[in-house]
Amino acid sequence: MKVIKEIGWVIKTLIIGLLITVKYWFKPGSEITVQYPDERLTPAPRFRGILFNDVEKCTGCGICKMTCPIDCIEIESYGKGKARRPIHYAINIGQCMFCGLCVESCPEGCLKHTDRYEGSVYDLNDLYYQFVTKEQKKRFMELADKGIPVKEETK
Amino acid sequence: MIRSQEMLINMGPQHPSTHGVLRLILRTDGEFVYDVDPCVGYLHRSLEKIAENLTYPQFIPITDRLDYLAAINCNFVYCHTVERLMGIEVPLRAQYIRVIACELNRIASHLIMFGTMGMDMGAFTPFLYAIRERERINDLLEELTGARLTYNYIRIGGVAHDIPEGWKEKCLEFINYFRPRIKEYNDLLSYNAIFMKRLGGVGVLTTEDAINYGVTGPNLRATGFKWDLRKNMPYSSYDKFEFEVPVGTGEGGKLGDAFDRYMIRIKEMMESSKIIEQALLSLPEGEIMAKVPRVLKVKEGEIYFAAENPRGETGFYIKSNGGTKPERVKIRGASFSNIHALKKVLQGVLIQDLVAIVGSFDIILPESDR
Amino acid sequence: MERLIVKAFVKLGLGSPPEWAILLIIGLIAGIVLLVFILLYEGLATYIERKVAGDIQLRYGPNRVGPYGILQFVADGLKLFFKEDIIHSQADRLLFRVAPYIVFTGSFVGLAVIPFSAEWCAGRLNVGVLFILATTSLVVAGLAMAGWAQANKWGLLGGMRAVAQIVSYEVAVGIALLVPIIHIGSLDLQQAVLYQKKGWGILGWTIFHDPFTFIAFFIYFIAAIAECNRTPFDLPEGESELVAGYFTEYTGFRFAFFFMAEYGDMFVVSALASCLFLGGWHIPFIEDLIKLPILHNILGSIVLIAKVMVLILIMMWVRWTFPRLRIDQLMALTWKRLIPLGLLMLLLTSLWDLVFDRKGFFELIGIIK
Repeated sequence: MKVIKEIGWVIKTLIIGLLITVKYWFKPGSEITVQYPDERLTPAPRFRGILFNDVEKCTGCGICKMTCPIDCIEIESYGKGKARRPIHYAINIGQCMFCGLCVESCPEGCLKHTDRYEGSVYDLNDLYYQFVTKEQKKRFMELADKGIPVKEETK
Repeated sequence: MIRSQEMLINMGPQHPSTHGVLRLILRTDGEFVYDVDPCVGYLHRSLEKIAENLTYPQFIPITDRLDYLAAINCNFVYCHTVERLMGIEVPLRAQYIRVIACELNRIASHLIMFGTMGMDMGAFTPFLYAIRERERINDLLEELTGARLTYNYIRIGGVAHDIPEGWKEKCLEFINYFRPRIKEYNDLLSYNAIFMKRLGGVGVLTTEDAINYGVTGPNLRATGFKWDLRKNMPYSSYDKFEFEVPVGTGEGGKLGDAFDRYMIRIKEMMESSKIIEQALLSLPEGEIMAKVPRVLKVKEGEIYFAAENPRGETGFYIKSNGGTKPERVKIRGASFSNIHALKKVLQGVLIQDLVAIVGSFDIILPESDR
Repeated sequence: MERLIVKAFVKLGLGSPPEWAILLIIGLIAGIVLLVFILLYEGLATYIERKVAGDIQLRYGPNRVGPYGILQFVADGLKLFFKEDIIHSQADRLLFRVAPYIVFTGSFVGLAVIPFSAEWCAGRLNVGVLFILATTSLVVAGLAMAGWAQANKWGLLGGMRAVAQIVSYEVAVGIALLVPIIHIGSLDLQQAVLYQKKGWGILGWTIFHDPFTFIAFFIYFIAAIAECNRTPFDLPEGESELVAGYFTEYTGFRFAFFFMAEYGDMFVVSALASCLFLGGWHIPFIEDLIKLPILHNILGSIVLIAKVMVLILIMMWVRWTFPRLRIDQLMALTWKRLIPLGLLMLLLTSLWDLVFDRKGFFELIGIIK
């Protein structure tokens, strides 16, 4: 008697399991895969993607460099007081862990996350992003010598 | 005396069913395992030494990598330890948001345990169903925190960002969608006759052994002993929510076997969804961050605090000498103690049972090796 | 067929051919046709399995190679063909090379006695069922050789488990197959199909003959899944535990042989079930209306292959739903449950035949004569 009850329990649970899989087997459109790279999903607004610094607004304070746990930001500033500007700003994206502490601590709001997450390159040195170009460097040094503050220029 | 029938098999660091880089040296005669020697340390990254060179807020993203399946819980333990040392009072809204995030992460971590348990037994489909749910949780947490695995959300004194617009409704919708799924998992895998026979009565751990070895979390509760840090030593306003603490019942055969450890986690997912619903419906207004100075100098002293992670009791011991960087940080990983109990439990079992038992303990190696 | 060959010989100027030459040529042609058929079927079976797995698991199967991914098996076959063939130094070279061929032969030869239609049967033996049971036992020898020849502890464990499992489940298969044979009265498969003609091609199936044969069909099906080493009985190749079991050290095309043997075994076992339990090549309802012999043959084969595909889809469906059994539970299942149940069904079905004078259920209630 106990044997028959056990066989009955076994058959019942097995059939219940089979019915669940067959439900998904014949349900049309139940695939949840996103066929990358033909379709891409857009990340959320707060997504911490690859960093971007708008050097026109940057005052070269260096707080981001102090906050980074990994020391992957390099910055060199020129000028005094409110006219201080960065003349060399580079982030090693290969080392960055995208924690977002630098973006939170930036007082001007010029360092931001983009929503790019595809950062593969063929050469490892391409992962060393420099944000101050040569003519920007020359222009910044001129403006800093003249003493024009950053905030007035970008108003 | 020569033992001519036994061989030493190396279930090496790379194996499809030891979760992570765990090395088990088995003394077996082909089917029965007579002795097990677990070797850990393949993932040691010296996090505790790194903490001595970083300031207190800088160490938070590193705690994400301690147990990457339950990252917010690890963030939370560290931040709360520092808050207790400094005596900072966290505002109520921040406490509720922390509870919601921690419980969402607990559901995600238990889903992975459910999926990998099925995969170890040979049923490949439940893993994909678990991943479907986990993707939705990841989407929710991405909108809240900005990342999908290493969240870096909790700060010393509160949380980093507030809840965005419309997130509360999405989260409630997810909870309503998730509850019937647990019944589906039970039908498909948990109460399946083959699964119950595989796990029932295997790998019994008694309460006395568990306490002696320092096993905590769901593994301890499966032996029948009701000990949950959220109820016995409540922190961060867990005492304002109503939820039950599931305890092992011996449904599969014996009390404290692998089926109990598995079933407790399924029931815990149900309880976590209750907590999240209560917290969302009663979320108070207010600030999300207490007044904490920019450059954090912690007063001298030492403190130990432990919280209930999905895997057990994870604790931080911090010793400060008054500066901006800690003098010593010691992390008590829950999986390290759980692995110790393997040596006692895995004597005289079949090799297939070994795979089931190691899976039911739900260990994760980064937490054990730090 | 024989006339065509005689005419071809006479035309070539070789005179009238002897008896054995005709048989040899017919045998060769039948063998090549069956081989091509089974290879094509196996390629498609791997593709269908992956598609079914994708559908159950909420994802797409292969869908990049060719339209809807149908050329995936060609790509996989080519890849395995060009892989490096490694035989490591401690392996037993002769056994290592011979084992895949024995396993494949054991599962392929069974196709020879299956009647694809009224006139298309490669080799009509009057002991067809016994022939299939004997040749699927060759697989045991091949697996034991494969497990031993690898000189790898995990492979050896897998081989031993495979041998124990297949030998035990063959007993269950044999006993479950005896039940319809009691009704049919002969071991010849073509005779078995012709017995099920009454009842418009559906109601005459032996599975509807009495409830004991119905249960015997399920016993046979479960034991057949175990014979093919499929989940929930796939311990010998348990991926999560023994890496790959008895074919751990096989690479390239030898590995493909084991796979092909598994799918071929599935086909043979399902074809046996269709012929003995489910009515074989009888076309339901419209069989007497088809007068043209060639059309009858083609439709009959299509019906048989359709029944086989339904059974194979059920096997795939079971594979992707259940976890696997432990070794002692597997042995307990066959020796303590399936074999006694099979013997009981044998006894009860003989009693039914004695009491009701060999009439089936539908004959008794008067639907068919």
